[in-house]
Amino acid sequence: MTEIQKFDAAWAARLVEAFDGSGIHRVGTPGDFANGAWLEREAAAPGVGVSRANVPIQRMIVEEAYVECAGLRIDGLPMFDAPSCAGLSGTLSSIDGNGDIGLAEFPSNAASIKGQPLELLRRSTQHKALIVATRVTGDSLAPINAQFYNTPLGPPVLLVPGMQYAVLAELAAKNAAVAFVSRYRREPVESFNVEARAVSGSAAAPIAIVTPRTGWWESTAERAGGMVAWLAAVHAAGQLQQAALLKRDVIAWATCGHELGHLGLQALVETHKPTITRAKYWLHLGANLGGAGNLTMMVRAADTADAQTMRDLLVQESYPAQHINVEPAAKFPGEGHDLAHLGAKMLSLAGSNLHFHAASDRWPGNVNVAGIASISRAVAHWVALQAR
Amino acid sequence: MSNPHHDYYARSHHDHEHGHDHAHDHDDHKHPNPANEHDNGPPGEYEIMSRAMQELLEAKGIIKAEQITKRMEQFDEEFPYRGAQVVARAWVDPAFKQRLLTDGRAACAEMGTMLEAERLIAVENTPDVHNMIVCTLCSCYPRGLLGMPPTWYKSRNYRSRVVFEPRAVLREFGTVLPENVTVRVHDSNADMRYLVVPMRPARTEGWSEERLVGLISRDMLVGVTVPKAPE
Repeated sequence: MTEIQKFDAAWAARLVEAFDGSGIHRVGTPGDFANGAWLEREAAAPGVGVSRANVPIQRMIVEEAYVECAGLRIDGLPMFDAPSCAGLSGTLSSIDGNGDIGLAEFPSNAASIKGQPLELLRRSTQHKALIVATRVTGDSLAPINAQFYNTPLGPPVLLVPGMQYAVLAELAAKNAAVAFVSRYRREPVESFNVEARAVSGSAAAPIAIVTPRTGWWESTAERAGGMVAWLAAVHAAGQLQQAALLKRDVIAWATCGHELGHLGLQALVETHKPTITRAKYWLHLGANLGGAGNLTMMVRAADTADAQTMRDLLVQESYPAQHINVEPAAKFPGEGHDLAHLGAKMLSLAGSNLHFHAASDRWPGNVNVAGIASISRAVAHWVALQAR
Repeated sequence: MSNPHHDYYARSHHDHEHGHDHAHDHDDHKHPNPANEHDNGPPGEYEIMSRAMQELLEAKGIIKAEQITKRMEQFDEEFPYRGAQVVARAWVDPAFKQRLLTDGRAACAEMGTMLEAERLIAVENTPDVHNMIVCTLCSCYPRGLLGMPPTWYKSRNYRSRVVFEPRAVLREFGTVLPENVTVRVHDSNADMRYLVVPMRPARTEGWSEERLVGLISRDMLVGVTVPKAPE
């Protein structure tokens, strides 16, 4: 009944390329605004109402961020949910040592869910500041998400490229004297969530769909797959509505501020509390759907049978079965984790990304458009199954 | 730039556990033995900055290239020790071994090692089955247990050959298995890592965990070598 087959690789490629071309998608920046406006235009279709909900944020403006030894500087980036630091001098050591400043190395997904080792370190450390080298594929500084953006946690933290870890580890072993600066200010700015709604006229529990739409850099493989599948879901719902086949509302949100503690989702939760538990299902289109290089797809659902249904749909739409893992429901990632914690009945898709949080996460090299198209068709089928 | 150890170290961090760079791979025919292969390629901006930083710190007499090399070796020594501890515990404690085989990540957490990947799958060698680990795409590796992946593990040579001629690769590491032993190759990914639990060698009955640890090396936990019975 829906024209699901139109969600093909060429269609996906056009959207992903446009997303990639709209700039760096960090929340509160021009690329964020351009991306949101683009998504609104793409979502608009017969049977679909599109609106936006502003989300006020205190944008962080980096002023100076570096570690300096013997007059030589390694530039970095403040961890966005750590306090600002105008400057301190002291000795460097590993986090197991007694230096004023502790050095650690973490992957770029070290704060994808709460309670991970980096968070525990920041809560317990005695160091006055921390330097964290972030590991990622590609020649880049890959920031770590700021889960506690509105309530900074622990000591100041400077993120530096993983490539610099070797030198810093040696300096730490020598307890070298270093200067540490991680200074920023905050400025008010407004971003927005995009809402697309297909209205059934029925009082039946709605289907809710959420995908984050911002990230540290262009974040193309990280975010574009979710948004493209989101658009497929919205258009499928619109087609059902036009055919008078929609038996329950389908409400889809593309939220801002993913990288800063899911700010957009926080705002959404505040304004749509009843929907959290009322929705028949929340479909979370998480990170890295359609990343190239590693096709691993994690499907998680409150009900394992529902996860299996989604898996079957993915296979039906040519996503390689051997790369689909049905995972325990207790481990919803990203925004899905937050929603599940609030009692939402979740179905979540998340993929893999060799360039996670790296500036090299770009179209076309890091994107598998055939995979995105498969996911999009599977998601559209799922919406049709749920909402008809 | 001329220091091969520095190249290795920098790339180890450059690649991390998801890392790969197919464009930089060597021609396999030039380096038939994966244990000898190094992946090199043109450096990127941050790599150049890293090298420049090291060279300037060297020029100022603050660090030495050899110290970086030593640090790398130290990582290699310390981290495999964690993996060895886990395996030694499994050898002496059947209940722990069962937990390790059921949920490797949780079992490692019992021993204070938090792993980055969502799943650690421990695979046990038996008289009938020998397990090997690879990441055919890049260099996914249980770093929390084993430290940085060795260069050969990341090499295209190893990644491509181990899946279709594992016995030949094993022979190059000096490991010759009887023909009746099935060789299973496990492909890691970003969310799922593997650890080989080798068979406990003969003539180690009554040995303490600490003593058993001394028999276990990183390469055994990847499955390219096996522990030897003491003389």
